[in-house]
Amino acid sequence: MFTRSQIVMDTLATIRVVRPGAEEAVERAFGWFYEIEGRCTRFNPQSELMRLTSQIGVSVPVSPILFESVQFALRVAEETQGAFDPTIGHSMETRGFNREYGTGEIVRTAITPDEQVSYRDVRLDPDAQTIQLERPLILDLGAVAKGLAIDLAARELQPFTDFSIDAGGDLYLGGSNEEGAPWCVGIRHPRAVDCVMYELRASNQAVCTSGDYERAHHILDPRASELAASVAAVTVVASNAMLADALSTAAFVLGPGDGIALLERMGVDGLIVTPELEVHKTQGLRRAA
Amino acid sequence: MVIEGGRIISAEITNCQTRYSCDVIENLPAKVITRQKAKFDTVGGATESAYAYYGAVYWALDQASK
Repeated sequence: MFTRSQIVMDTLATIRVVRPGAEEAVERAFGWFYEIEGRCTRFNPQSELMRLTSQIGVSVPVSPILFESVQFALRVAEETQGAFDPTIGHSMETRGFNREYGTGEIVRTAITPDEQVSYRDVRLDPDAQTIQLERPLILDLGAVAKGLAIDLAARELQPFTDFSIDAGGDLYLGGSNEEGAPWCVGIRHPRAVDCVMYELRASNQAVCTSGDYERAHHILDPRASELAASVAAVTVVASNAMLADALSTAAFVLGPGDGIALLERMGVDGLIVTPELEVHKTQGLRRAA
Repeated sequence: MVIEGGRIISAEITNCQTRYSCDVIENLPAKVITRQKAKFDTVGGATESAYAYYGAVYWALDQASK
């Protein structure tokens, strides 16, 4: 088993490949994390994402990576009627989620604060591949970009069939483990973080979790501009990590009832743990239990 | 770890293939190592910050400078 770990996107990522000869593919896989972080971070005023903020009302041509990330985030925003909203960047920044993890520098973006902005203030032109911000706002792709990076890394590793990608707890499991069985995945307990609270088997699936127990609680309800408080952790199992990553954040904001309904509607599996440690599961996981 | 002109150009943990002692690796991301030895192939959860691992980098730099 070839194993390599690197710090990417403010976390430790580990890639494991069962078959030999994957060194160059793993290098390319890690490269996607740096590429996407460089374009999609709101912590660097020079990133492609933040250059949008300095051109309000202007149709800006962007890279396919940024266009795809924003387009996907807006679709999830529409699907959840704003419970997930990538325009929360300024709210996040003013609430102290403003420190660049590598340099420690505090980011303060000079725009006129406007608490009323929403995903409806972002215009996409798929033909021209442009993005236009209609009002002063900062996009936050924190719940999308890492998932996309995991998916592109997984694409690099597909020729090797059997591999795992762990980006600080968000996972993609390709094929089988060393024993030729689906990967055995433990899900951390949100209140006893060295303990596993749930076990599942995964193959060619992403398993992404949003929780209130690492990095301090950081998930805002965009509709109220307040921290979402009715959930301790959400884990989503989906065919790709971008979907699992975004839906875990959206379900965290929506709470147990509406969150499970969203996951069922989107055709993915998942479980939601409340602060009282009640566990809510989609039908697929209830059947598997 | 690659240092050029007094700046860290890159730093990575490569499971006991680094230039500093394996003991350092084993002690710092302890939870990860423990999980890999447990019954699970991998463990998912809310994203962990990398700050703890920067402690390892500074420690390694400090040791290297002595």
